[in-house]
Amino acid sequence: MDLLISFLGTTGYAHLSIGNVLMIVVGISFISLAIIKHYEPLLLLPIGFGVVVGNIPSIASMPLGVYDQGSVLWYLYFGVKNGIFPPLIFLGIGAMTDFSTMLSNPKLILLGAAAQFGIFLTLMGALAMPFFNINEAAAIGIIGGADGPTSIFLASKLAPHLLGAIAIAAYSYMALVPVIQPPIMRLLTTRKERLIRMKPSRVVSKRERVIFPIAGFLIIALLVPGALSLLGMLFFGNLLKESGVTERLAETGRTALIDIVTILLGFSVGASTQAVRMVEMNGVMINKGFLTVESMLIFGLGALSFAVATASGVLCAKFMNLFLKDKINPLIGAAGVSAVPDSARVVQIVGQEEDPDNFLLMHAMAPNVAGVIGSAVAAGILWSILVK
Amino acid sequence: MKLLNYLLTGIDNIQNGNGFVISAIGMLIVFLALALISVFIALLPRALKLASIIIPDEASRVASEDEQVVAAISTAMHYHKYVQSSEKV
Repeated sequence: MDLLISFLGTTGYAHLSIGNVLMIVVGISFISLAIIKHYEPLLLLPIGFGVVVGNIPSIASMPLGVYDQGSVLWYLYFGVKNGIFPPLIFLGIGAMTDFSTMLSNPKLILLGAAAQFGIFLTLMGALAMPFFNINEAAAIGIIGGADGPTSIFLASKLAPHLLGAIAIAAYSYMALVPVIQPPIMRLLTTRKERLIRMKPSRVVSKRERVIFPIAGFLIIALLVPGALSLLGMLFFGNLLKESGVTERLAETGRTALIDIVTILLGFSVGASTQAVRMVEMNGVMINKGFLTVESMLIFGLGALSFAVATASGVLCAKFMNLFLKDKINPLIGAAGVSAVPDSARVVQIVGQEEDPDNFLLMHAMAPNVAGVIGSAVAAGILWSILVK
Repeated sequence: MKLLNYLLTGIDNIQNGNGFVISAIGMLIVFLALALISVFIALLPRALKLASIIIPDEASRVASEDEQVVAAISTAMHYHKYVQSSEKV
């Protein structure tokens, strides 16, 4: 009988807190959004289930959770904590990205740069609050890059204790691109601007496509070495694709490798969001779990960051139109946030609401992939400046 | 008044954390990096045009080799069909 009572005392039911229940509901909501609404299912489903797994109370003497050294989840989380998974995801992204649209219209790259304004404005917004130091503010700001792997990479380097909240916020907002962006795009553009048709892209030669990943990497890595691991892998993956002689490797990068890493990353990030996690710091027990005021602020700042990034891209396109003979449809500025290809798709949808025969998708892909490079550069800069 | 104090404290916090400087430098370098790439991409087709005078384009060479292969296959098929039709006769 004593054994039974002792066993019952170790069950999750006995230790389940309201916080755990709340987080399990959040996890199930993510899973539901993925299955019912198809919002980023490849990310939200593993994260959602990870959240559920991470909020089952574990026994103190048994290493089970991501923070318990030696547990299975601890080993899986190792790739997140040490920034190993994000570059591997970038390799896969590189192997599946076609830079042709960007190469055919290089001025659109500037839209990808403008959208990174959201990162730095949010950095200042977070720093203005009494809750965050500069490293934490930088890690929060990068959410505006709309790039999950980059956010995780920078958070793991600058503010590992906020990693869970930042990753969840980044991926949530990436999934909510079709909800967040359209109102901002409509608000900042006139109907006449939304009706602008852009010239078809020129054909890009194979030579250009092969040279670009090598030259592009050299230009950026020499300027911002902090972006080396992310952009090195991105351009390497792209070279595997474009070289035409390593099709097997490119195929592995864009299918099996990226899928495996996405599963491990999504699941372990989700599992890191324990509702309450008391950690002793300077003799005082502090809650470093997910349900804190800081996490809520991170979500708020993340939304602000995303909105500013979208607006910056659109406004930059409008500004460029003051000087250009061949006008840019300012809607494609919104694709400067690097949620590939969701934000480009949103541009296409919003553009076609005004003119069903206007095809903006390919044009929007240019700032979209430039945004991936831009956010990785921003992360590299922040890491370089703030690393101790 | 409270809001103004809050705002001033916020600005102080940003200043103490070097937020303004970091943001300005960050944005400048992001623009510089992508502008450099943009200029490089804009110049690339012209550079390749010049380079193709010295080194002929691999694509065109491959195409001419392909044409030879296609010609050889066509001849072989034509010969094969010719032999078959001759045998039937």
